[in-house]
Amino acid sequence: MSINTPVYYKSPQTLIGRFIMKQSIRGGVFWALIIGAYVASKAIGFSKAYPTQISRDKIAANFGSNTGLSALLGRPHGISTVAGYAQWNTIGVVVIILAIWALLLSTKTFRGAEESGRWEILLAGQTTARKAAVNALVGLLATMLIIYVIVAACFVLIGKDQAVNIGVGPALYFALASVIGGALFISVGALTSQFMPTRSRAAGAAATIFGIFFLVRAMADVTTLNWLYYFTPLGWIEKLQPLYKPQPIWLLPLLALILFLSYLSVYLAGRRDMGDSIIAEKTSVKSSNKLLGSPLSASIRLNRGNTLSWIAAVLLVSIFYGLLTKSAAQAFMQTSAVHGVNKLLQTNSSSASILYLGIVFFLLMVLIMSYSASALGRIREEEAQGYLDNYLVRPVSRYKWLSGRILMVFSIIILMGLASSIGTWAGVFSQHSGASFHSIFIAGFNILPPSFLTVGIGAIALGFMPRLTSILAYGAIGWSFLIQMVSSGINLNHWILDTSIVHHIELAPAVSPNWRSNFIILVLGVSLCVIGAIKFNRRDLANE
Amino acid sequence: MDDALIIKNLSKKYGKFFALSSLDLTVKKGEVFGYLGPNGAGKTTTIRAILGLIKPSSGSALVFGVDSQKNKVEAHKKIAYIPGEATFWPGLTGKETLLLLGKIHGKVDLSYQAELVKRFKFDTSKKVRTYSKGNRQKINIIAALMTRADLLIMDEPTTGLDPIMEQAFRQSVLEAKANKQTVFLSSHILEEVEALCDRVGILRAGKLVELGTLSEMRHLSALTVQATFEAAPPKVDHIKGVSDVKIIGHELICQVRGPIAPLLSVLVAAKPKSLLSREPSLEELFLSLYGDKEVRNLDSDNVD
Ligand SMILES: Nc1ncnc2c1ncn2[C@@H]1O[C@H](COP(=O)(O)OP(=O)(O)OP(=O)(O)O)[C@@H](O)[C@H]1O
Ligand SMILES: [Mg+2]
Repeated sequence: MSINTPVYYKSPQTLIGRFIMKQSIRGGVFWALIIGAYVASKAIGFSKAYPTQISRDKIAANFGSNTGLSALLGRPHGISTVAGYAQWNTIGVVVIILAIWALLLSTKTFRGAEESGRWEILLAGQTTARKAAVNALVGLLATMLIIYVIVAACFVLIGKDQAVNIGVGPALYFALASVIGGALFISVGALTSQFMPTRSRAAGAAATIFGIFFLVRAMADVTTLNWLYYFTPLGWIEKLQPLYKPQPIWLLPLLALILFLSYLSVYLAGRRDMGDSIIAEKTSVKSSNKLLGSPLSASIRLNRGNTLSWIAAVLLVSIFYGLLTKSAAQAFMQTSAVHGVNKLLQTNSSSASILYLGIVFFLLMVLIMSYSASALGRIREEEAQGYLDNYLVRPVSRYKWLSGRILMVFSIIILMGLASSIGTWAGVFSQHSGASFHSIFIAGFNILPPSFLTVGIGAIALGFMPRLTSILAYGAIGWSFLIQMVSSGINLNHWILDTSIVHHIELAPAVSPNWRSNFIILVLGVSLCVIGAIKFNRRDLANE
Repeated sequence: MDDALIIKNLSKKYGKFFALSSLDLTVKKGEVFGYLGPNGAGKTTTIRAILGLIKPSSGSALVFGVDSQKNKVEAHKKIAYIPGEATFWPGLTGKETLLLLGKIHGKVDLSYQAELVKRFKFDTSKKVRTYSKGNRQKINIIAALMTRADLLIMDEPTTGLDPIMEQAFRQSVLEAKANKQTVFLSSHILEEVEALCDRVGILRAGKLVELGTLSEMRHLSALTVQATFEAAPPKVDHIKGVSDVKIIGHELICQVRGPIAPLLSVLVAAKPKSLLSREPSLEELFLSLYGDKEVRNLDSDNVD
């Protein structure tokens, strides 16, 4: 037998990086285009809705002192110009989207792959733990770079619009300020992945860090404690102010922090054993028999940490924004400002604090919908990882298992509705600002139907295209959010509007709820669950 | 009802590809049945279809008379399954996992469970995440055996076990047999199958190619004849029924099917120093049935 000359592949040293980039690129392009569309709708929408300088000054005066919006979007600067308005109205939202996407992606790449053993296979190649970590980081940052290029191209095009009129240089800088938060949370996720033993804990830690950064920035925005900005990288991003009185000096600490966190991750990756984490798990633990009697109780036990964090997040967000109701309301007095918000919420209200609470509940609605999508994603994971096999080879019916899981998600959604009412009310009440408990309580439940519908969409995916469960459930939310945002700037065809699963919700307390359409959405959601379950019962299990 | 498992016309298609085509098979009550076949033959597919994890394209499987597709829950009450790979919840300990699996099955012999834990030297206090591969597999084995289910279905149950644990496993299967439980064992470890199984079915490319007791199969298949000579061995290729002739120095090994006399007379005429004839081992049977050209060729390469 002759020995053949082996084939040598090109640059094995960078293989992991290229592989990881290839895996993340599709999601990256998707979000980049969403961001482009979002910014276009905001900038062009503003310039069309407020064509004269007088009308812009007027809305600026109103928004300018709106504490509630500041807490969400950051402090407004120069919002009587299209550029200033676009900057204020978009960067805050874009940073949130990209940061969360980035931290999920990064913890999945680092800790997720290590947990499942895939990382080990990569590491067996011509590489070391550190080189592999560098590779992975570079791969992820390369994806961010591509996002940057797409976003920048979109911004340059948007800037060319006569009414918007932003130069190429500022557009590129604007794109950088929008995307750099993503790069930051790639490195944060890489670092928490070194510390935490599981992917979900790594993601939880990174999300907590994001939450803290965000709240500190929001505090700085709504108080006079300007020094708080220095303590949160999200504050530094806000300070970049790409389109109005730019302060590019703030790029320096951001870049330094990204480099430092990346370096630290790589260093720690080399110091520890494969599969280990800095915060290690105890190997021998006291066993507890609690909640191990049935698949349903076991899933309560196995998901309780995750569920409690979601409920806590809803509670915190609602308290925080509830606290700001009074100061926000004072800024809403002028009708032209109210008009913009009314358009966003599809409402026609005039009471300022009630209108503001409408926005708060809109946000809470999106948050609870995100929980629904993530919960369905976890149900699918249980199948994909093979845990479900353990139940189904025993006397457990698929219907019973799936309906148990879905009913549990439904109950938690209801709990979250309750949490959002209680939290908001606690915030509002402590400020003695108007809105009655009754109306806030109703509002908390009024926002739930889209979450049930999200579960339904996830369940349909689980039945028919199990591998797309997460993508479709989150996709429905992203799409609806986008439609809602775009439609507040541009008039959309009502067929398109109807595809938004939040479009038919009348945002209480700003408007009185439409129980009829709520009921229809709820029934639709439940029906989709039933159809999904029937199909799920009949199909092959699809393990990864 | 004497049959533990009746498989009728069971097929599974993936697109146009038949992973399993029209399988008919009956496993008697109390029997240990060996299910063999090369990689990708469709063994796991058969088992997952019996368990209802995948939906067969046609056919059915009856477990003690219960249709395992139409009435999964009832059928599963009689089944315990050992997969070849374990995916358990990484955050639970071994003890917690066994408790959960037992509760779900609904019936556990606790004293036998304790005995199995001891026999397999299984430390139940650790988190699943931290178990080695073999130790993780022990959870599968113990969880299935502790139920004393009427039908034990095993798919490469001893992957990852060390030789001592392999012995413990064989002992446990024999215990199950003594306890009148039925065992359906798919395995690549032929020694294990030879030691445990009453009957064997061999699957190839989705079709059953052999079925019977080991001695029946041996009977049907060729005899191995081995002879050593002072000088070069005689030519035997031309004799009817003789195949796979291998000559290593002064030694001759060949297979013979049917009457052995013509071969013997040629060999004896050449004055052999030693002459040996034996029935094929399961491994040899297996190799002769499995489109084994590559294996044989490798052997002759070594000889050349
Ligand atoms: N989900 C699937 N989609 C397409 N083909 C599949 C799928 N699952 C199994 N197959 C194919 O069906 C055939 C039988 O696979 P199966 O897992 O049953 O083999 P096996 O006999 O258990 O092999 P092994 O000894 O390697 O475990 C294989 O060719 C496999 O590629
Ligand atoms: Mg198999």
